[in-house]
Amino acid sequence: MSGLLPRLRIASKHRRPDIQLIIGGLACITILILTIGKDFFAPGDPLSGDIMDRFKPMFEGKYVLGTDQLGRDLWTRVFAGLPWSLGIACVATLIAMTVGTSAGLIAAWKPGPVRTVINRMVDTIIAFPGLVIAICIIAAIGRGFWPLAITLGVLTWPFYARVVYAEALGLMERNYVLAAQLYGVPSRWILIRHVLPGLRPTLLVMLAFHFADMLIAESALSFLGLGAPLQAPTWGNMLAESRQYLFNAPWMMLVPAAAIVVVVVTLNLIGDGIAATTRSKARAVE
Amino acid sequence: MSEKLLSIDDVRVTFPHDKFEKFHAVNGVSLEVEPGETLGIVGESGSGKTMLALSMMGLVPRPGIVDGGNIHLLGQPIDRLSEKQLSTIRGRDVGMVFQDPMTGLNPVRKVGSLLIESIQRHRSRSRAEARDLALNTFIEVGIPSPEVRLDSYPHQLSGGLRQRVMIALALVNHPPLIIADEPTTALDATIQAQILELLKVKLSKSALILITHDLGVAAEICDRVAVMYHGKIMELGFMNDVLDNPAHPYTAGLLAAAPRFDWNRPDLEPIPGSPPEAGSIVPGCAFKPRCGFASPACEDAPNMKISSYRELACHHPLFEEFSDGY
Amino acid sequence: MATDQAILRLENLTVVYDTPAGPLYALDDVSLTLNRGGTHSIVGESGSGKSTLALAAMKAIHPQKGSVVFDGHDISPLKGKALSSFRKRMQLVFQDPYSSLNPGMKVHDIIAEPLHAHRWGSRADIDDRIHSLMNKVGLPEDAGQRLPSQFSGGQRQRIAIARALALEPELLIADEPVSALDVSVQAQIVKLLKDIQQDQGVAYLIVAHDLALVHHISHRITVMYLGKIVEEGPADLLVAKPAHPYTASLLSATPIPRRKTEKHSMVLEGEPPSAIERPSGCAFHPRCPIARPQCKKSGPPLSIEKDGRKVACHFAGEIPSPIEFVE
Repeated sequence: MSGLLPRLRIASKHRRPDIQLIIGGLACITILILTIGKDFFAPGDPLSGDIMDRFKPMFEGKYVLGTDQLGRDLWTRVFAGLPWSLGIACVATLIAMTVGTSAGLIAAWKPGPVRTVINRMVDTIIAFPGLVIAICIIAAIGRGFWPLAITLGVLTWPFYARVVYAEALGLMERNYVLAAQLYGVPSRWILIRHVLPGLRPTLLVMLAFHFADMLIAESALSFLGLGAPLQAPTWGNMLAESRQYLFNAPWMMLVPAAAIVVVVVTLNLIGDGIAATTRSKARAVE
Repeated sequence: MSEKLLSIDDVRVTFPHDKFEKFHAVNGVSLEVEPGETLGIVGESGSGKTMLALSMMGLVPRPGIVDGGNIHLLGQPIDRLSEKQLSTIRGRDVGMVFQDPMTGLNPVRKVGSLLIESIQRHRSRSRAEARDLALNTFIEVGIPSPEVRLDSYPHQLSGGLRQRVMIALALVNHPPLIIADEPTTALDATIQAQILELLKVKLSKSALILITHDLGVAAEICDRVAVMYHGKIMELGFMNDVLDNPAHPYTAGLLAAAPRFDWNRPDLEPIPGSPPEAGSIVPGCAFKPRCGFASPACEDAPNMKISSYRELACHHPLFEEFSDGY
Repeated sequence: MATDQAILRLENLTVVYDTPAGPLYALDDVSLTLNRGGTHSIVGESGSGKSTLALAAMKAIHPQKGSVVFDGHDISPLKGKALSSFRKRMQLVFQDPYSSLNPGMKVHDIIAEPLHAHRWGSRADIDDRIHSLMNKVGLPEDAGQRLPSQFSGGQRQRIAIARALALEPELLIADEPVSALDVSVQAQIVKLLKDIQQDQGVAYLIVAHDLALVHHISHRITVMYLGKIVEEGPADLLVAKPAHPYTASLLSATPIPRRKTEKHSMVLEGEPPSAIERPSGCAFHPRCPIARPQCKKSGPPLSIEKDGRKVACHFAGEIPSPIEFVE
């Protein structure tokens, strides 16, 4: 019966942003505030601790999240890990998104050899198990913030490229794109002003989920000892160190794990929320 | 009770809306349909004609409601029956032909089976008998290779054929009333002519209400015509009379704006301005801002003037007969 | 016919698609001449090839044979920058006002786009031009900052027309410019187009399915059936004295708000054939009311008469106009 309803904008409920987006958004802002104000919320040295206070459990005394095997305050360490983990995920995501979107757009716009080459590259890279390749590369070039971020970015751009390619092809069929071509608008322009904006909702959703993936990947690599320098207070390292003491001091694992889960869930909520909001917006316009 | 087939009295259809409190689709419409006649309801977009048609069959989509007035079909108060009672009436007493066959035809079912199901439901025949009747109906509406077509799916048929199937479905149980909402809008001109011819000939026994935005389509087959604007009927009368002597400035405007193979090729006269926002409530006559004959009297909504065979909602009818006849 | 007179010549355009079922002729040897400042309409039902013709004229698709001559220049082989200078002078208005405008762009930017693309002038100059264009097409002052979704179909078509006129083209190709609009709005847009033609001398090539509308606004009309021209001539003659039986049946089939007695009914049998299963001889013969054995055997050539009318029929002129002449 919905086909019989003419262009009535019936209820405004459809236009409110999705609840997931609201919760995710608030959580995200909170995390950002905590990251920027790290020195305020968690003063103190994450690298040194009072050996007399080792293995203090959570919520007892002055160490809210407990201490690790060297007496280091986990609260301070978790905060210290924020910029590292978020930073790597950020850089990797940005690299992947810029390279991937450009590649996808070019492949969609230019049929022939250019398209074939790009699509083959995408297929090849996706075919390989990402984490394994990452391990090999890091093992070869060494650890650190930039090697890790760039490697992750370079390995994951094909995911963006593939999605952008498919969607761009569809968007290019639209009449207003044909109109722009017939008016003599240069191709670059058309891609940026007509096709790219149409990709925005999809890209935002991909961004959110991809960021979460990068975070997990970074933690996994650090856990394996291939990410951060061994002494750096990153969540992955914290997880690695916690393995030995899992039964004595389980909170050493819980704290970084919880941090990872919180950030990942936040991003998933944002991703789902954006997807739901753009779906209902599309319905409301008609 | 009168013996009118369909009798509508001051019907209103509204929807809840965020901007205005209510979206007024139909704003007080009254009309009657005699058995066997063909009535055209002509209106541009936003006039409310489709909602009016749906209300006649109890098919106003939620959250819309029939917010006032009465609708009587064959003596039954349509606006007050339950869904169960209504579904018996549909198919048996009223058939509907939609603009978009995909709305009326289930894409995953063979078209023949829809007819067979309707026959079995409303006339309790065996499946074999029903199939025969369906076949006959297909032949009646001019579907070539009807035996084969009974087992076709909608997407295998052309637009014209699909529309014939819709018509077959509507008239298979010989209902006394058929309502067709823009049945030919999506079709090519020559196919449209075939379908209109079919409607004219095959439905000579049933009454037909033809909803359309095209006065020309109504002129092809309708005996009487009602012109709707912003949820109300502006003019209602015999087709040829209204064409030759429109009484309402809006009708006259539509005629002057419509191309009609006039050998002199005069310029088409547009109606200035645009209709009021669909669904809004406009004080007085809704056409006033665009009307060349408007006067302060038009601040009050005109009531229907009834004269011999013509109804009119206007303070300044275009010819004399009405001025005192109210 | 002096070449200078014609702003556009389409010569023997043929567009063929290769399908598994054989070659599909979307356009078969179609020619057309449009004079400066005139209006030439192409009428046909679905499958007639009229939209393909508009796209070929606009060089949006490549014909297998034939050429497009604009202002005396053969633009068929041109591409890229060379074509771009001609694109400025011929613009297109689409059928669907809802999809031909980018829903995310402000109206001002939509109209400005062709101007920016061709580096028409400074930002201030462009703003002025847009202001006067919006005025000319009857859009309200504040329309520039709004999105297309906030406008009605008629207004959106005005936006599309404003955009098409931005570069002051000499030719406007319009594909069903008013068929998505209500009758009263159609008349407004038609009047707008006529006024613009009078002011600026723009020539129109209009593709439409409504013969009645086209009759009112065109100088010449070409009638197409299954990729071929069946008749062409001055609009008034086409209606008063149709030469081809298809034209006559189209006249009869077009719904007009007149008494039934003023139009003779000529309902055709059957459906239009698909372009893949072309009937032999004259493509119209299976549905033609006056078809004879000869029509099945040989396709009638397009003959050009003294008065410039064209018709492709072995028995042209046998069917009188179904439209009565009424004072």
